[in-house]
Amino acid sequence: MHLVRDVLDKQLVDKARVRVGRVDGIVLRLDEFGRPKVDAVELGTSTVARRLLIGVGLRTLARERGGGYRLVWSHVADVGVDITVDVERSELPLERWQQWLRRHVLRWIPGGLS
Amino acid sequence: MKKLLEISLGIVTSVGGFLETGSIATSAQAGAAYGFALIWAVVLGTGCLIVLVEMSGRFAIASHYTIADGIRDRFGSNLFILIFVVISIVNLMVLAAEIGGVALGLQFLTGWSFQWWALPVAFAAWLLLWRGTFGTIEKGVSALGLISLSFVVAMCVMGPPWREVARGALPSLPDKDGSHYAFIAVSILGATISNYLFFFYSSGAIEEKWDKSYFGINRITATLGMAFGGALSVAIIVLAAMVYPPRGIEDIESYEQIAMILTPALGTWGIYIFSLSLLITCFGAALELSLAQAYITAQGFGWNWSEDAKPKTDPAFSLVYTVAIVIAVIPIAAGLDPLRVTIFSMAVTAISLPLGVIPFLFLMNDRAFVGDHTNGWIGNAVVLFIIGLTFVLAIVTVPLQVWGG
Repeated sequence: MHLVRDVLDKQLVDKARVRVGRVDGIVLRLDEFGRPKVDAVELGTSTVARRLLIGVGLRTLARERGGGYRLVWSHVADVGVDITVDVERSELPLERWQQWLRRHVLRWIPGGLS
Repeated sequence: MKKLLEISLGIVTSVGGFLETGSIATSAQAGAAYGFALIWAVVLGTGCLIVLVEMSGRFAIASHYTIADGIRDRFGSNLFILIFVVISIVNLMVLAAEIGGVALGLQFLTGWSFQWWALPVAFAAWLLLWRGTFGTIEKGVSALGLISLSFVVAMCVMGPPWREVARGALPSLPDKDGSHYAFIAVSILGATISNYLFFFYSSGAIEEKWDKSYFGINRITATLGMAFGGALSVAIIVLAAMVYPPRGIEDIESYEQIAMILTPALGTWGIYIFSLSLLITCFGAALELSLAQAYITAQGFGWNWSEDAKPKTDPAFSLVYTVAIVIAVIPIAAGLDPLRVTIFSMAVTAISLPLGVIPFLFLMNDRAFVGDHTNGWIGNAVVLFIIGLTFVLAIVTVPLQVWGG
């Protein structure tokens, strides 16, 4: 498996094949022998923003760490065309944000909750 | 037979690509100023569009991904955001132009200023997206869009000198005012090839659940759908060439002048048929643009999306098109001249074209996505040619806007 090619920026889906975001970042950790291990995948616009700042040469403005939601690698069930994760959708940031939208925005729009 | 109806995806994409305010305005200008001489620009634009639309459909069928998915996957988040920002700005401007087109159609029909129609039009478009499904929108727009065939009927009624029309399909140099000629040629290409069509069409193929048995249907849909739009654009050039110069009009200055394009052929009904065509096709284009904006946003950031689902299911997706419509209606409701918005948005489209076309060269040759359905050398040669063409367009548009517009 090639982390950047096969994991980074890939579509995340839950067990029901609902799209739950993308792999916005990958968190590596050094083990006791100094070898890098994949710790988690990171989700969230702050991670995307950090990559963008580094990409355009403004590393000084970028935060030390991504600040996004970290999904521990052990929850990654399958790396295929999409990446399947075995967590409840409601725990992930995208669905939480959508839940907020339902409660605070959609309820004011006719037909929003029907 | 059911599969043949899938061609409506081609027609609806085509309505957004050709029959909207942009192509109607630029084609009418081309015909008024240069007769049949600029038909080649429509033919060239249509050819390029057929190739790119076929590829975006093939990509979706082979990979189960859309073009926006592919860009984020293949090029990472930074390049995606660059493309996303540029295309979103262009989409909003073109969306404003389309809302203006519908409002103008209503102004011609009712006599009430387009400014007052802007909000009701935006609301109607939003309501249809909020409550409707992809199928109803697609089939509805392509069925109603057939009214624009009246341009072809009118062209035949006028009985143009077909030999000269055919000669116009070959590129030629103008006998006067070269920079204005080049400006209109560029505008036609910009009005024909638009990035959002690829995002829309590839998402449509997923919405319609095209599987691997649809490669042939995709080819037919892309070809016939885009040819439908191209034929109508040509009809408008031919009509404009026969209607305006004899009346001493060489430069189209307002939509009122374009609105009379059908009257010599169809009589007093002409203005109503023109207004209805403008109204329906711009409305279709507005729906298509709003959806394309929601598709590219949701896909790029990995949200769940489907126009068939209720807003409650995918609130983020539904709110993107809602916000897009709200922003785009502002300039029209504020009274900005829709024709100016249109011409400007076509030029901005031309500048943004390379960003949308270059990814095809990579995505369509990546076996990880398309498997055995990669481009052949002819397909790649054509894409390279189109990329070259879009670069030329992007570079010459601003100078031409200044000197020739």
